[in-house]
Amino acid sequence: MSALAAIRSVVDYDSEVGKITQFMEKFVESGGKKQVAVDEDDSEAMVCELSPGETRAKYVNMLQRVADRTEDTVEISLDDVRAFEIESSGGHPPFAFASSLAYRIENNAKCYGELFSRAIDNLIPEPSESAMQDPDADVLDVLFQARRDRDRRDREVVQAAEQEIIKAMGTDAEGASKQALGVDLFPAILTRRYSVRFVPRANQAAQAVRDIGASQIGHLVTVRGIVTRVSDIRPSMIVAAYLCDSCGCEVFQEVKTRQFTPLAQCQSPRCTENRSRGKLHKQTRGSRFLRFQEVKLQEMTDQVPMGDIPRTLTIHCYEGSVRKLNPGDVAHITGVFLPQPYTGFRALRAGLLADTLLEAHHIRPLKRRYDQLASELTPELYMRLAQLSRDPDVFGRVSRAIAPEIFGHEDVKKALLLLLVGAPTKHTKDGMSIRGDINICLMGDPGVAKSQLLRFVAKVAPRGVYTTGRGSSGVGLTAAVMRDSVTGEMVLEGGALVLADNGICAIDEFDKMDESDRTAIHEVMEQQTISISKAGITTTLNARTSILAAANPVRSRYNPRMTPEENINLPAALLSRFDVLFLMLDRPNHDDDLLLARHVAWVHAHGRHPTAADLSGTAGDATANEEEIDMELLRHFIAGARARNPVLPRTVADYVVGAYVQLRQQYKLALDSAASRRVGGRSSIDTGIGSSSRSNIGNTTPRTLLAILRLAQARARIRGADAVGTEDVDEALRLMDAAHVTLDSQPTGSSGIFGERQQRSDPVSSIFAIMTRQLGTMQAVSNTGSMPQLNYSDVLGRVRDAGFSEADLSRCLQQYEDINILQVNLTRTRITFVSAPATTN
Amino acid sequence: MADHATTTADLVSELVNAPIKVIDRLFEDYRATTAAGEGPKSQEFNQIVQEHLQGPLSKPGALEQIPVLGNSSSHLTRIKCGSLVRFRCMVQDPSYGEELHLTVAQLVNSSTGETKQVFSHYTDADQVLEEGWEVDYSSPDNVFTEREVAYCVSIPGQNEWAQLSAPAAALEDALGKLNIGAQSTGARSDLPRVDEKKYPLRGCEHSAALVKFHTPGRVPKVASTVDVVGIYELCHGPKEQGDGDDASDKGRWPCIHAILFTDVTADTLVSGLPRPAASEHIDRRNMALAHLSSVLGGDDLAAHFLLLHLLSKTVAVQDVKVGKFSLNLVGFPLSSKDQASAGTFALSNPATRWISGVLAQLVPWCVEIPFELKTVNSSTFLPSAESGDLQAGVLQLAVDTEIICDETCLHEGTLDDRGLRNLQALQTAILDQTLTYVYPYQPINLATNLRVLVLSNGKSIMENDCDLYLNESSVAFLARIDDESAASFKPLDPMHTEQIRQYLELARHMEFSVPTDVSNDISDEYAALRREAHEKGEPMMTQDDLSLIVTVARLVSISKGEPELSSASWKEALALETRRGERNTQAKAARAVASANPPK
Repeated sequence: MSALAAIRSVVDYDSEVGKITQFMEKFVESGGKKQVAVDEDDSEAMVCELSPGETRAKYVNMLQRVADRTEDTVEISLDDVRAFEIESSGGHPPFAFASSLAYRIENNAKCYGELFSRAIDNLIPEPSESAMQDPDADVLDVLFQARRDRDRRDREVVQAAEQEIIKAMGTDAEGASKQALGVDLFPAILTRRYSVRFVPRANQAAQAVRDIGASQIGHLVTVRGIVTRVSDIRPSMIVAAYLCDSCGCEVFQEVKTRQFTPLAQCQSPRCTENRSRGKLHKQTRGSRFLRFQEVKLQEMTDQVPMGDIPRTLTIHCYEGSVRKLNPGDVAHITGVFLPQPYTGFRALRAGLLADTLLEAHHIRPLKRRYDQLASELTPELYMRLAQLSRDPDVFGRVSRAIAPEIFGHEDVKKALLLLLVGAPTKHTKDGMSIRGDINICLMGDPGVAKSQLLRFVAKVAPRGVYTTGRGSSGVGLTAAVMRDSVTGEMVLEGGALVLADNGICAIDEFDKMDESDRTAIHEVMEQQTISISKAGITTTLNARTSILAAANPVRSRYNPRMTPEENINLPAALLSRFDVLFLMLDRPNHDDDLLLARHVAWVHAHGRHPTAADLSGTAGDATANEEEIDMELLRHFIAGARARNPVLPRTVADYVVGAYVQLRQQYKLALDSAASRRVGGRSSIDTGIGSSSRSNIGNTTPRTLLAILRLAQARARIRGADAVGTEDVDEALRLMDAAHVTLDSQPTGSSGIFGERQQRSDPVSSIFAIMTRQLGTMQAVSNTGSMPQLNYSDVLGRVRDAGFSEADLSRCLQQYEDINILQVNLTRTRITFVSAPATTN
Repeated sequence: MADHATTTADLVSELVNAPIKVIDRLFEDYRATTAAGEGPKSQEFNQIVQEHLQGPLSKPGALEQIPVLGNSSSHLTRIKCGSLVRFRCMVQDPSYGEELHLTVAQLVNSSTGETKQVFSHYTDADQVLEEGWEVDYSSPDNVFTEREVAYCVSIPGQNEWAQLSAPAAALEDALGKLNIGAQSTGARSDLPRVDEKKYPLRGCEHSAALVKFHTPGRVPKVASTVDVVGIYELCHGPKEQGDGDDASDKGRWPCIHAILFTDVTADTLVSGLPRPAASEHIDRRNMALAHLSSVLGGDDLAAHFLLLHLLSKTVAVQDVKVGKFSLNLVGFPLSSKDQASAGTFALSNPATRWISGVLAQLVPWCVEIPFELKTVNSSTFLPSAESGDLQAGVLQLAVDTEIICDETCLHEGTLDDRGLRNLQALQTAILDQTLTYVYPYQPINLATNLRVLVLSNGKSIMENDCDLYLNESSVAFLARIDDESAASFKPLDPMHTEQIRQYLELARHMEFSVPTDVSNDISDEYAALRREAHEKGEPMMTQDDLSLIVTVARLVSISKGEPELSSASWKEALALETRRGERNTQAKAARAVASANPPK
């Protein structure tokens, strides 16, 4: 026990052992109020679920298992220690933690580990009968048996001799013989077949490597980090056994340091008596080794202060904690922080420098980062989250927090928020799973901030990877078989998509990727796996990731003279895998330009992004007094939303079906008209009201139905609802539509550049077209007989999407009201169609 | 305190030569003052030492008595272990982390059971124990001090004038050079270890040391520049204790226990001159413009843009980066293939070397990267910690480094995988001002502050914030330049050089703001320009264009010493941009014509 940990206060260790013994014997766990917060993932927790009321002496049972050799680790939960103390303190609730046993354990863990071992040595029961017949008893058992036999024989001889001596000279020799027997005891550590491990209190916060300092030496600390290097498992000797060649007795030497000087001369009483200087030979069979592994833990990116680089910490894992970690794992590691004096030559000269390391006690790999976020929720954040979710416009507000430096693009941001939240993945009984991750493609003119959106999303997502299609080959995205530089072995190295497992992979310049590389993504986007068969390795890796792609249209700018398909130029197989395809076109708009310029100027002036309040002069007052949502809050919000699993009620399912059928019909019409166009030789897009106004970008396939469901579920998650509502489906449909709206209305404003493409329709009829289109969708999904109605604010939203102002809308409404086609109610919330216009069919 | 004058001088010389003695004495005093019950607190004591040193060292001339660790590894041999040293350095790797040191160690005699205490601070020297004594690691009276260790290198690309000056050492320097000349045959093995892989510019002469900061939490960040005053020693590397068995100094690392350290600022760089009054800024600006224009062969516009470039500094707050201004000057003569200097970081083309030489006089650190395939393919630009230890990449440079990329020596050939990555890294540094530190499983992007100047014959392969074709006279001037004519060019007189340096440093670090009314004007004008362009069917100004003009306007204002953006500067920036646009279109057209009718 390298007790470098300075013990400042005087502690009576014997009484501590007494307390520990009491704890081990008396602690009962009761099912109703089990204190240990066991993580779902925590497979190592041996605790079976207890039914309420049932009690169990946890540690007594554990010791029995240890004695039976079914277990080799005694895990002491500090929560149990604390609970036991509070209970046994006899109704003194203000029991200060700082004076408790649990606290002392935490502050001097190494030493208390030894005390616990001592207590356990006394307590350990005889192994139950069944265990004794274990055929492969290990070497030490054989040795012990031999030892016991010999001792017994010796004792018989000694006793016989003693009796004679006693007869002859009285009681003098008694002491001497006892002494001779006493020396032969085994070191305690050799006979222990268990290791004591402390499980930290549930509320002990994980620290970063750089937070751990000299003040925590000897303490039980918890660090979080990413494992970068794991050594092979090697035996580490803790007891060296020797055999004396003259007296035949085994000598044991406890090893407490990294290096030790082997014994050479037998110190046994017999040899010392005879002055025989028996030579000792090392016995590998009798020595005790521990499994040992060295792990390097590196700080995570989020723990590194701005502008600094990560630090590493060496972790030593023994026995039960080995093989728990792999390179690349993120883990909470609880252990004792110890200094390690430099060894070898320098130690001889009393080097006063020490390196530090952590001796692992408890390892908890974090598989899902969002889960871990939930455990880091502070009360303050909790309050802010609760406040946020009470907001009726929570969807809008949170979506505005996405890439706040980018102006406008509200629908794109909404879709990105849905992508971040995702829908729950469904697993069917036969092991298949239906993807819940949402894939989005942003296609648009250069300079509309696609890349920034991508970067932001990759940054928010705990496992977000940003890559460019041009910079990464198919191998770079999926996986590569590489030769390890250190060992020379072939290793499988995950590419960006594998790294983004359970996260988001943002691929910029999607269009510039090689066709052959792009096909590698097909599998990922639907099956969410990557299959590899290369260099003798055949395997399937998980890549449960959302793909967020950004691409430029053909010839990098959207050409209105070409059809959407010609502009997009991605194969249908790929396109159908995207749930939403956004077209982001760069159109001049005085108001937007002005706002954008203000924004840029603001950034230059203040060095930060303006909040809504800063630009409130122009940006509408509704958003002015909102609390700013920072990235931290956003992450927690997403983590919270992801935890929900909204169901799809029957009625809503029917609604979705209706909507889908409608979409399919439109698609059919579009196909027909496209065919007729080809026959008739017309080249431009049919722009007549209604007919193919929902341009057939991409195809409406069964995948679309899944996409609607996914988007709706994601939105229900954001609302905090337990069931998907029709409004979620509407929003999903609207978003899928919004992507096209930008396209449909695109040519309206452009007159100068493309001379032959004169303005086809005035705002009034365009707006009317928008309304009828919306109405068509409504009618298809809800077959109510009454007069069709539209929500004014919905319409306004779409009209704005299409690039018209509210004034245009009211002019339109006025005109059509005059000719008695529709009516607007007094409060201007509802538009009722008096005579349903001839819509799509 | 009566005989102050004499004691100060003595104190300084004692400090310089035997600082440990002084510190030991201080500790004894400190020990006497603390209450018996309490142990000594290391932080408190550090404070005392710092204050004690600051006093005498702030006296004029005192600092100059301290030997300087310059940017040649030969300096390392000349400095006595255990003496004070000054080191102007860049933090290359602060991730060595904490080290614990037994400042007060309790010794126990195993045979007699006696105990005693040893004190050692600001030193790692091994204590040679007498027979029978050993360190009692479990004693409660032990005091551990934690300190953070960082690997620091002499600043890459540091120019002669920006080095720490040590008048007394000048002679020594010359002597040292002689010595090196004499023993260069094979005596290099006695040099303390310096890790070549941790210096950004492989193969260049440099010095390095492990700097131990005794102030946890206040360690300078990676790639920052600091002036360190500390105690010089040789020590074992903290990351390789396994092979600590060799006793000689050969395997040891140079190490400095930092007592005082400050950031390198304009005042410490140009210490000789008083700060100029605000009104002098315009004069200095004109002086700088005239100088730049004359070295560019009389291209006034290029001089303007070059000055703006030299003044640029990236200000990163949250996720936005403002103020970066990488420049591409087009029109340098191509270097012939045989001029290639194989795989080193030195320019071979006389014209680009000329510009680089001029800038070296003006900026404290500048690094030359010739785009030679061999160099680009064989070096690594990104720092990488894949092997466990952070190895420097070419781009891991000190804050505010000027990078001069010479594209004139780029010839046809194969750019391999590594070369491509390198150029990509440079491109990211130019556009985003971020540098990726390749860490296993999680590459870390750090904000940098590098100014990139690309000199090329045609438009650069790198995408820059701004590119400018030099005018004909300048092109002709540069084509004529060779080593002889460069040497005959009359250099700027030292006083003026010093003034321009100071002007650049001060202006660059000026606080700057954009007032609301100006930003509103700009917004309006932008929208108007955009609409106008749209109506005329011309290409519209994009967000990037606007950003560029605002940046230019900002730099114009800064160059005039104005603390905030003025409308006049905005107008001037627009004019400059227009001139640049015209120049570029003209030059392109001229080139097109020239290539259509190649001279026979």
